[in-house]
Amino acid sequence: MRTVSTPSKPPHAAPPVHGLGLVRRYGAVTALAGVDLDIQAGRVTTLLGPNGAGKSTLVGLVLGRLRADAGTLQVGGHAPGSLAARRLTGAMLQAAALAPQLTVHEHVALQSGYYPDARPLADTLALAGLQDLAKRRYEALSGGQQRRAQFALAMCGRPRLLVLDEPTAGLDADSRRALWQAVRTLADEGAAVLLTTHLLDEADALADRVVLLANGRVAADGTPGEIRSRVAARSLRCLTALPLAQLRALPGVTAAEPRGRHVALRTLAAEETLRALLAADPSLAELEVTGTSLEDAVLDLLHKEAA
Amino acid sequence: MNSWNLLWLETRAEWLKAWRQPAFAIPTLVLPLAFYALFGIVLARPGGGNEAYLMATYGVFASLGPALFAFGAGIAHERDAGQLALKQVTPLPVPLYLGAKLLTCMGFTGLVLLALYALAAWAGGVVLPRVTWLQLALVHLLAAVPVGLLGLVVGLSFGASAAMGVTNLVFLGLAVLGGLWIPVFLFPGWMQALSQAMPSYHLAELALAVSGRDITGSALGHGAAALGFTLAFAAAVAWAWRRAHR
Repeated sequence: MRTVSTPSKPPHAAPPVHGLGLVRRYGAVTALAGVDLDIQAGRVTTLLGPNGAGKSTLVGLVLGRLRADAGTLQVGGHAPGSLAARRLTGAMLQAAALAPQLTVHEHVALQSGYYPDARPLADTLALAGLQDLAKRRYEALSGGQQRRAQFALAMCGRPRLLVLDEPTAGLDADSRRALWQAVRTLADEGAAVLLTTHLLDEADALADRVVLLANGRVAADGTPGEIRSRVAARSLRCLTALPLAQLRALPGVTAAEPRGRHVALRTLAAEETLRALLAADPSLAELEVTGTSLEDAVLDLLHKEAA
Repeated sequence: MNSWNLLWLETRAEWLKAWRQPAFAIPTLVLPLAFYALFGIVLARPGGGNEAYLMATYGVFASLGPALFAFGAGIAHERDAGQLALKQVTPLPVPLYLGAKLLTCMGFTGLVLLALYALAAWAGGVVLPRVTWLQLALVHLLAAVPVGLLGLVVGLSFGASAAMGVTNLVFLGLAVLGGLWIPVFLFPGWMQALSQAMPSYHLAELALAVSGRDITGSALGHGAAALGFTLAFAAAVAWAWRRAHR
């Protein structure tokens, strides 16, 4: 009788990240006030939120760099920060650096040795776009290239959980898009990606799921489309002589902000607002009506959260 | 990849890191040699009978530089730069990371010792049986372990600039009170009492015992004291490591 060869990777029972009721305080300040977080394999989950919302704290907990004051958290069924959990995790931190004296090749080779099932070195370099820089020392790389080297180290071990804390900070547009593509490839390979960003276009382009944090709580959780549709508002843009205070008093309007020479309005009832606006200002020009961008939706949700 | 392989790769990387920073590596190597050349050769009375004595204590002195400056203060710098945080989230077992640092530190000490022994034999008039050279080398090399651990405690507990200051103080204390420059028996009583609290004193006495000198106390006692310091510093490293996590 022939034996059937088993797949090289066993099926993983435990979810990459499973957190319940996470609380973390810094003295009198509560950074996380009871957050549940489950992350699935093969998906890019983006933590979104303004500074101080608790994104970095949550990442610190997942990586085991911080301890929760309350709640439970497991990484692949293991305690965060334990060797077993670290073997499943690759991470790119916000304020981090690599030893300047070593070459890219030396760094990637060393880091690959830490993991039981690392990606072939050439593949890692190609995925991070570092083929031509392999022999260069880290100190001789540009800022963007250094970020790419850090990304290479984060993913060279084929981690089940890839944590990227503000990965595209300091990257130019081309490098950002290349990194997005690489992250997409890794998620398609089955990695659970946890990514923090304050760039909404990044979340919109990349995320399968957006978790919006505000004041240490989850303010919204869904696909970028779902987040957008939770806010029925529309945006108006025009050139008008009316003062902001009067614009804010128009029917349906939730916000009015100057945008260069123009004014941007948010409204829950576009038609009524338009009628009132045209009646109040006969000189109105360059009118534009658009649907909700993720940015508008997030701002509205955060606004609701604060109210 | 098994642990030995990993330790080898990590040690190699540490070695390259240190070696590719000549401004850091060379002074560490040259300083003890210059001190020995000055006090052990140029200013020493020829035929005074103290040639081997000076080499035994300067050998311990040679282990201080790499251990305290290159690796102790070095880790404080790595922490400030954000290199340590990234290491701490990788699946590299902590003992391998610190072990690689210690091995590299011993490697550097070995280089200094080779140069020191050559200088002592050719210009310092030191004549010893071959077995004694080897025993002495063993004591001098192992001296890098407790001092290296002490350096790591300082490096993990302070920021880079503070660590440099503290390290200088520790360096001076170990060298002077340990009797590495001036023999302890020339100290006033209260300083001799302080010497007992210096690992360098016990290491120097061990080195002197090996080189055939009469020493205060037994070699076994000094060995036990050195071991005690090593274990205490290792525990302190474990504690400092956990604190450095944040």
